[in-house]
Amino acid sequence: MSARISLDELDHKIIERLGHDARVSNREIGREFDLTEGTIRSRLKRLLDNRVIRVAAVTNANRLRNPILAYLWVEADSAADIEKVAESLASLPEIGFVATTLGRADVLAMTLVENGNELTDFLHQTIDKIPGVRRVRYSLGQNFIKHDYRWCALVD
Amino acid sequence: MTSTRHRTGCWFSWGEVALRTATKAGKRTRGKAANANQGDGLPTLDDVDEQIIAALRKNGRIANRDIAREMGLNEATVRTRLRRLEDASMVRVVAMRDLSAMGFGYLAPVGVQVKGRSAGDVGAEIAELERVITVNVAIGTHDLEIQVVAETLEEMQHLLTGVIAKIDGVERLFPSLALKVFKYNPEWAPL
Repeated sequence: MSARISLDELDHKIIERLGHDARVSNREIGREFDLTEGTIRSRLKRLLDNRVIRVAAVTNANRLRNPILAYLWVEADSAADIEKVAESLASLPEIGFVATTLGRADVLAMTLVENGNELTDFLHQTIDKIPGVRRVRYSLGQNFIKHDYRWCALVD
Repeated sequence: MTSTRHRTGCWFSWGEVALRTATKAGKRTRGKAANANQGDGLPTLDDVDEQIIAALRKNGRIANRDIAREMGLNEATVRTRLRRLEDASMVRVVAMRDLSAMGFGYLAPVGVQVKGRSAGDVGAEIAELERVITVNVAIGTHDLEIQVVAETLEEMQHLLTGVIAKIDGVERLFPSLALKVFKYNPEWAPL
């Protein structure tokens, strides 16, 4: 995972500011914080280079008809398969979250689908064919009460 | 609208997969696209919009000027388009924070069983907690699916058994703990 660098108050302020709108210019942030454009630029570069943050576009999930967040709880054939299964799942563009877990399953993967058919297709045609997948249980997140999209994991 | 999309309209699909939308004509209508209404309250996107979004998915800090150059447009067009997309809540360009770099070493996806109160109400109360980053009303074994982050295992323990468990209507928790996160790329979100 990311190399740990220490963050001071200014770093946090910059991150917070960019969490609302990351298209704001360095000069504008500098003006707001009463600092130079160069200070902001170098701080930002450090945050980006050290993979503390990533700046990117997020699109509105409401463009999808009834977006359903599917939690796929995956059991592997054997303990030795878990890592490989997680890697295979992570390589699928449809899947946005993959982690090996303790507890409810070996691997948790998440994807967004529009309806049950789409999910069944995906489970049968894609997930079931991944070597090492023994069983998939799923739960469907029907409505987003909270979804803080400003969190991510910057994994290589 | 549905037929053109299939699952490519998935939440996070990463990389070059552009927004799946009804780009039927795909014409380059300057500055207009994000205004046309599709009938379900959200504007339609055309090729130009999608290309702008694709560029910003790769690098959210890229200058309008550079997007314009890559696409053979002028900067003002890009600026106008982007502003329309943002104003219509189609797109937001934000800084996403890496959980572990921000000190959150623990991520727990937790199922919640609710009793004596609606899942929505309980979920809304759980959602107020800063350390809870997602709350979904779920269909399946549990009534809610939530994700909790913590800096230490002690903090996680406190959040689960000391805070969330004590919220009115929370009957049982079914926690799991992420060992290693292989991927976490939010690309689609309710904006």
